[in-house]
Amino acid sequence: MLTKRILITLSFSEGILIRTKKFQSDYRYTSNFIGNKNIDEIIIIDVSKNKKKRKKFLDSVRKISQNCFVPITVGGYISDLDEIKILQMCGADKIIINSLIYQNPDNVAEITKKYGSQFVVGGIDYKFEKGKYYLFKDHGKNKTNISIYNTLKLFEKLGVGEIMLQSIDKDGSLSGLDIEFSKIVKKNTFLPLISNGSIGKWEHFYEGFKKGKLDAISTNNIYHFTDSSIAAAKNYLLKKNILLRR
Amino acid sequence: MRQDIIKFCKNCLMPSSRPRISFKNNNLCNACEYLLLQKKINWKDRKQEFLEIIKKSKTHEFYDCIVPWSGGKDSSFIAYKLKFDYNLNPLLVTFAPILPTKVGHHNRNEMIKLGFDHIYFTPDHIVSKQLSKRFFIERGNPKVHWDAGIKSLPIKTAIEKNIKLIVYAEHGESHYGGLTLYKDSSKNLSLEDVLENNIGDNPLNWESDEISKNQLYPYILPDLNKSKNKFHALFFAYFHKWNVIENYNFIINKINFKTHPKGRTPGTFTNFDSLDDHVDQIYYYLQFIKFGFGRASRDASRHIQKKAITKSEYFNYVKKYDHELSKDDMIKFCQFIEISVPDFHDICDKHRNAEIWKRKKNKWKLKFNINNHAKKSYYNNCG
Amino acid sequence: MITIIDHGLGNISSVYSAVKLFEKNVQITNKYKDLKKTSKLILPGVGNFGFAMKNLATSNLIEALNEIALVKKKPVLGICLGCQLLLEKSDESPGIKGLGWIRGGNNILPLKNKLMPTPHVGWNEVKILKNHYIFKNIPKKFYLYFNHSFHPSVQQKYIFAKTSYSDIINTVIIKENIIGIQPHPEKSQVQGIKIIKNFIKNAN
Repeated sequence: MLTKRILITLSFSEGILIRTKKFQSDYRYTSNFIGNKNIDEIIIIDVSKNKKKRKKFLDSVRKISQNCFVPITVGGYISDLDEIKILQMCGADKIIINSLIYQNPDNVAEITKKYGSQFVVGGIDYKFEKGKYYLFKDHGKNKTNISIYNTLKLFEKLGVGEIMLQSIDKDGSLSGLDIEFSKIVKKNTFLPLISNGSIGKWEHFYEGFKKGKLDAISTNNIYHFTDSSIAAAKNYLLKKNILLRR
Repeated sequence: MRQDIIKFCKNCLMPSSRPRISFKNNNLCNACEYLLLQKKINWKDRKQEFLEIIKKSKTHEFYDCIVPWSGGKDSSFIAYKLKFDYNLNPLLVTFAPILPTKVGHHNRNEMIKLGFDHIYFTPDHIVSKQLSKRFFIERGNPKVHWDAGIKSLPIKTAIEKNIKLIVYAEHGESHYGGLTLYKDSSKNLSLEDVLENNIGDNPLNWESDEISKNQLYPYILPDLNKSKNKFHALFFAYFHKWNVIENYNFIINKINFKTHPKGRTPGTFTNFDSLDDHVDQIYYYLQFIKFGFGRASRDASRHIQKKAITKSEYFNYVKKYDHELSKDDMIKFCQFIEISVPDFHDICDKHRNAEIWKRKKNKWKLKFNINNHAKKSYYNNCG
Repeated sequence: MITIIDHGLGNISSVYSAVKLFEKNVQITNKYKDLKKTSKLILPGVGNFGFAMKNLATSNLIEALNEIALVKKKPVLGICLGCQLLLEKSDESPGIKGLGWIRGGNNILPLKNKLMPTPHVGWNEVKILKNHYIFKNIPKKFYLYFNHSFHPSVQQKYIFAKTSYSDIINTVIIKENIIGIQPHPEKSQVQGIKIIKNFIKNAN
């Protein structure tokens, strides 16, 4: 049977590993203690728009992918088709895109056609405001003004292979997932669903898998990145009968 | 905040490498902006507000409040004021330092002699050792669990004994540079704030092969929802003009308060602050390694905020003392967590912020130099 | 010399790193003249069946590859897309011929329900059906990382391991010197690396 997946998402700003809060850079961390033995997959995102520092980001990706034998997904302001080959050479097995889907859907269709759906993860960043959910592009800066349902159909039409959800409000908090949003999305798509962020305690993973019906959950809390933390999370979940790779 | 351009607050000279610090206009950090606001405060009103809170918060038949108490100048200042000026009956609650010092022990005894009810809680030493070692390695901070304990113990005691009011000292993030989660973060303690900014993750997650969930009890915070109306933790510094130097001057007149036995605390120019735990030396040394400012910078910043020292004295102290680490305390710590001294230094090096450190002739050197600040506004390193 | 074919699609660096753990003489190439010294061949890849075959044809590689696999009968390992290329065709690119080294075609995974979404992404259990050196030191049931929408359909005699999903997936297919593996051993941590090791060390 297909297992549930536990992921870590590393956010880099100008090549430095950081913690984010509501999508803003918050705290600097060293990348010397990131484990890759117990984790199921790693997502690496460039959160800074500084094109001059892109090379530093790619160096960080390369460093992490060395001796890393689990899948790596890379993203953050991908707008250049030419960059894809470079990202692959740095170690990307998949890419994650958001703004490009709205800016240039034809490019996205081209990418999924050539590299396959399994290569592309579509990101959905959202906020809950005055009783409604709003979706965002440009790393939380601008509303897409497209409904959840239409967004999902767009993703499917363009051949996106997986979807990753991120709550902008809850980013950096330890308050647990927005289960309601996960349920809405899961109801309306056949695509595998990942959620990133706001994991405080291991119970939040459990809620996400059981109630939110998520296929994969990623934590971006830098204190969860060590092999020992992931082992502890998996032990907790295995005891509660969540199927995971040991 | 960009990491390769280090800015310094034009008032307190705290560098921008400090986590969660922000600079708005005029190159003034958020802590100094907060200080400016303090000048406009009507302290009479604040004191009145404090009195009203005390009146309506008494839930216990005998105790008026809990004071989380280390025995240091700040918490002793508060304990004294509450008992002898406000005529309250506070219960002092201490979460034991990881490696208690003789001076800390002495200062607590001196205060107790004045007449206080006091609970001293020592967590399981073996668990503390394992967590201290783990967090020293993984986070470059051997006191993460202690940070959880000093919040968890007083709050759980308050709930268990139905003593609703807890009086902490000051909200560090507001006063010294950091994030404020809520508008009233400098007034009321929020458990979310503690989790997100103090500790960083939930202590429940620390369960492992070595440590069972039961053994984590001292560090686990009460459930956010269940405990909401059962305690009210506030900061004394919100209601009274707060000055750590004045706190020290006040307390030495009331008790035989001893300072650092060596005459000066290694790593800084002061002798009266953070005296009760040998691990503090390691904590501040790692702060220097990670962010480029050590204990001397931290103390000098606070002194300069209160205009107690000049900028040139600041530069001198930082240059002389910031990189210092007490050899005795380092060895004590290494023996405690059972690692060798070379391994200790290896792990410290792994935490060096590559943006601010460079290797020169087999020695580590900071890329920015606080002394240069005297000449220009920023130190720009785009290497 | 271990030759990893670069047909323009897929993250080859992970395969390269994994192989390098066990063998120093490794080359990544799309030039047919480099293929002469090949002792073992690896076809990696993630991407479109048709694009990959077109790239192989454009690089003039197909003849040389046929010689290595069918005439010289050197050991071959096809991974993911590489595994699919070993067959004659794929639903993904109707009309385009594959290498045809094993009879059969690649079918699309059916969309059964939301609990088994497609693409098939993640860690799934592999059941070994028959012994082979490729499985040396690997437990009877183990997990590998899958990431695909199409999967190989071949005769029973070539199926050496399977995985359950919305359809039964022929995880490992083997015909003489040719091994195809649908998931990604180079992305499957300990057990996956063992498979790479077994291919490098045990293939004759």
